[in-house]
Formats: sequence, structure tokens, C-alpha cells
Amino acid sequence: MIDYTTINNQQLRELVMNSVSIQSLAEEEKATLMQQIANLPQKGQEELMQTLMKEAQRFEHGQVLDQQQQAQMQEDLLQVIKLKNDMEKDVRVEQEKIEIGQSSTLADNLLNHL
Amino acid sequence: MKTFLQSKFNLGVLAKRLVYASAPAPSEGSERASVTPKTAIDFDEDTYERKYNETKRVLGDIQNGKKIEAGTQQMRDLLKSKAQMAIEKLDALKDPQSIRAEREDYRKKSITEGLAAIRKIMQEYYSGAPVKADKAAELVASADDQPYAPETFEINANAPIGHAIGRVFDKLKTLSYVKVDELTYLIKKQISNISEIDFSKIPAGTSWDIASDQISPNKGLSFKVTFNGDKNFGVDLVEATKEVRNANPAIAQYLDNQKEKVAKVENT
Repeated sequence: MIDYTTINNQQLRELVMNSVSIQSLAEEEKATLMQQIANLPQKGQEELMQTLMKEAQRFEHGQVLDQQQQAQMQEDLLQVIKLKNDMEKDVRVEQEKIEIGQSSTLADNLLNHL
Repeated sequence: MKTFLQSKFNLGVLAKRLVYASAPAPSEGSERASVTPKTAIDFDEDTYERKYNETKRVLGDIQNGKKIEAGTQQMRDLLKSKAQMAIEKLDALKDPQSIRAEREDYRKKSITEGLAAIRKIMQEYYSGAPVKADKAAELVASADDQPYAPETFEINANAPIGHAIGRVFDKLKTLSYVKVDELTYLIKKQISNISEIDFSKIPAGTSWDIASDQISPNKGLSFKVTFNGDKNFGVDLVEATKEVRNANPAIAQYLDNQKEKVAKVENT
């Protein structure tokens, strides 16, 4: 369990806790990093905050891209369904034509026999 | 009997024909309009992937002539041609797997770049980047189940080698090197590698005075420490810490810098 309270700067602490890249680290490395961050001088903390804010923006941008992609996929899904339905309908229409043709032949034969 | 059954069958067909005759003939335009999904569909990626794969399979079956066995050749060719066009349209849409792969690539790239930026800052302030996660995990796994806790690491001060190493550690702790825990951890790992040393085989009277310039308690051992005891920053673990150096180039750089400082002090 990582102790984030060693980072006194609250803003930095929140950024660290929400950093996807930091959270992706192994526990041992995360612990080492927390120790280093806690002991960073003011200037270093500011640099790190800038970096983590940029990272957060990047992931936010990624989420926007995801949402756009989702919207596009939703449209694509309708097209996919339409493609399948259209094609199946085409098959049914052709099958129906065959069936009608066969029925007509048989019916004509019957009428001829009557 | 046969005629009766035949007649019955034919009457059925006749009835069917009458039904068809009264129904409007299928027209392509009206059929197409009716199959466009008009209602909102609960969307999720799995649905998209399932529908995409299902459609691809259906179109493939039609294109391969699996759906239409009867009918004229012209009819079958027409359907195959339509299926081919539909497949091309489907291929123009994004494959769900590639969408997922793109997203994962973006995430991995963001994490890699994020960590690189963080490490750069740490390197700037601590003259040493953190040990790579995979390397640290590997070292932890091979360290005889001893948890990473340098501050509680106990050295048997009664054993000559333990005494020597203890002195090295004491000295290391006085250095203004912030990443001393990491360094001691790696050295500890090295010590764990020599835990099978039979101390009784060390010749009696071997000097373990680490203040001397060259300590070589390595008779029968594959372990060597050199330590410039009189210089506070003069730690030279070149031989003993080859693994440390390989594990972290920043540590190697640090040790080299210390050597240079020692050399400068000695020259002046």
C-alpha cells in the first residue's frame, strides 16, 4: 500500500494519485518514486506538477478521442446492420422469385390438366 | 390414389399462387427502405464487434453461394456480386479489433511518454533514475524472499565479511546520495548471492579493515570490495557492483563521478 501522505503539496499529491503512468508502475518502483517526490525541492515539485498536468491533458484528449470513436462506431453499427439486412432481404427476394416461378409452373400444369 | 395426392398437392400450389397473385410484387426499393434500422440501438463495442463479425460471415456465405442453391446462374451471380459490394463497404468501416488496438497504442504511448518525462525530472534532481520496474521485480523475486527493507537489513557484525559490509553500508549512509536505499538494496541483493559462503574457510587473520585502500576478502570468494575509507565520498564498488552498474546506468554514472572526485582530491 503506497503512502501518498508523504507528499505535502496537496495539488501534487492529487496529480500523482491520478497519474495513469505512475499508477501503472510496479509497487516497489512506485514506493521509490513516492520517496523521491516527497523530497523534491519546490522547483522540482513545480516541474513535476507541470508534467503531470500535461499528462492528464493527454489522457483527457484520449477520452475525447474515445468518445468520438464511439460515436463513429455507433454510426458504423447501423451501417453494418443495414448491410446485413439488405443482403438477407435480397436473398429472400430472389428465393421468393424462385418459389413463385416453381409454383406458377406447377399451377399451370394443374390448370392444363383440369 | 396417386392422382388424388397429386391433385391435392397441386391445389395447394394453386392456392399459393392465388395468394401471391393478390399480393404486391416484391420491389427492391420498398424492401430496402424497410430494412434500414430506424430505432436507436443499445450501443456498446461488443455489440458492434458481434454484428460486424456476424455480417462478415453472412456476406461471405452469400458470396460463396451457400445461401442460394436453386435459381438461375444469373440470379446467383447477381447475389454474389451484391455480396461482394457489401463486403467492400464493410471493409471500409473500421474493424473493431483495430479500433481497440489503436486505443491501447495511444494509452501505452501516453504512459511511456509520461514516465519518461517524470524520470527525466527525477534524474535531474537525484542524479539517478529509478530502477526499471521489471528489473526491480526480478531482483526482488531473486532476493531469497527477503522484503525490500534496507533500513531493517541486519548484518552479522560478528562475521568478518559482515563487519566489512556493515562498514560499507555505514559509509554509504553518510553519502549525500539520495538514492542510497536503492543502491543498498542492490548491494544487498549481491550479498544475498554470497549467502552460501562458508565463512569458516576464510583464512584466519584476514584483514577486514575497510579503511584500507584495497580490501580483498575474496580468498575463495567471488566477492570483492574496494573502499577509499578516508574520503567520505570515495566509495568504489566497481568490482562488487558490476550488477548494480548494469542494472542502473545512473548509478554507474554516480559511482564514476565519485571516483573522479576522489582522483581530484588525491591530485590536489
